[in-house]
Amino acid sequence: MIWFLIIGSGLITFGMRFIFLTPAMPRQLPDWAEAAMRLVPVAVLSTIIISEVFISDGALTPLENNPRVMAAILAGIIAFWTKSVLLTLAGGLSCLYVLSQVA
Amino acid sequence: MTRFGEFRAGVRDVFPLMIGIIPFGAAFGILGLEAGLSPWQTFLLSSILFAGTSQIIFAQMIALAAPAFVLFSSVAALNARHLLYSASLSPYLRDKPLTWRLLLAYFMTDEAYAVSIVRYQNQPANVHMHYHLLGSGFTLWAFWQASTALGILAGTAIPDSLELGFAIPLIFMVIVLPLIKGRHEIITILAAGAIVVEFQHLPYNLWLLLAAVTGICAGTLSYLYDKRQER
Repeated sequence: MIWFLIIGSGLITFGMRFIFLTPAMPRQLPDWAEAAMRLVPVAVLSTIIISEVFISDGALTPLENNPRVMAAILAGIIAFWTKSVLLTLAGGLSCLYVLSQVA
Repeated sequence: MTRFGEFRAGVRDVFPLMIGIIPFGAAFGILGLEAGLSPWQTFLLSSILFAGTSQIIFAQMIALAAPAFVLFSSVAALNARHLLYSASLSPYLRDKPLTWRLLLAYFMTDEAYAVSIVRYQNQPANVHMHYHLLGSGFTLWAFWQASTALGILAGTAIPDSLELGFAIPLIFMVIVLPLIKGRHEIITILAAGAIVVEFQHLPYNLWLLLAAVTGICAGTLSYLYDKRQER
């Protein structure tokens, strides 16, 4: 089953990379489609971010005992200033570790 | 410019970006194992899918036990930006032989595209210029495979007390924050977030898909509204 998912995802992605390199395809996408496509990463990734930070076991985690919010805010600041995956992970994960030890 | 000259220029142009690729690939290696993929599945995902962010989404969907169509639509939506890359590279590559187009489509990643399209648009065309994308794409490919392997090897040595699953949203923040350029992105995020919070009860984790689609629609409507105002 997992191999099916891996190969299926690979084929879908390859297809989208290849399709406009065929001479039959139009050169330009409609304007609204380009705008929508640019928003896809923002929408998909922030969906995951928001659910990982605020939701646990299918419900909103009470803010007063959710150390992930603080860790995410700190990591967000680091990410904004440094754009570094390494520094963001170091800051966010150690903040979460410390807060969950204290609690 | 010779074939080798173009290839070397592609390698040289993409090389500085490898500083970001190594920790990203290693992080994917570690997270793949965390999500329950086998070492081989994790490693081969990096060459079969070969698209970093969607590989982490893939791992996340496996960890959530999401159904196949949710996984496929998330990967497809996330990688739909390659349609834009493909369309914009098309004028430079569409006349090359099929084997070249298949090969270069495989190597078409964010970073390779970014450096090669700059070369195609800003420097004079020549018959060997497809070698530039081969150089940038191959370099990225090699570093991506090696850093994935590194992560898989390191993954077994990391203590469980660190909540590594939380690395996923943190990595995504590094990707998303620079993409927020104005109102449309903020509206996208707020709409998606509202669905995440309100629709947790949907079966098969359908909230994932609904949140992303709602966000995209809201952001696109905001874009179209602004465009109309301009007229």
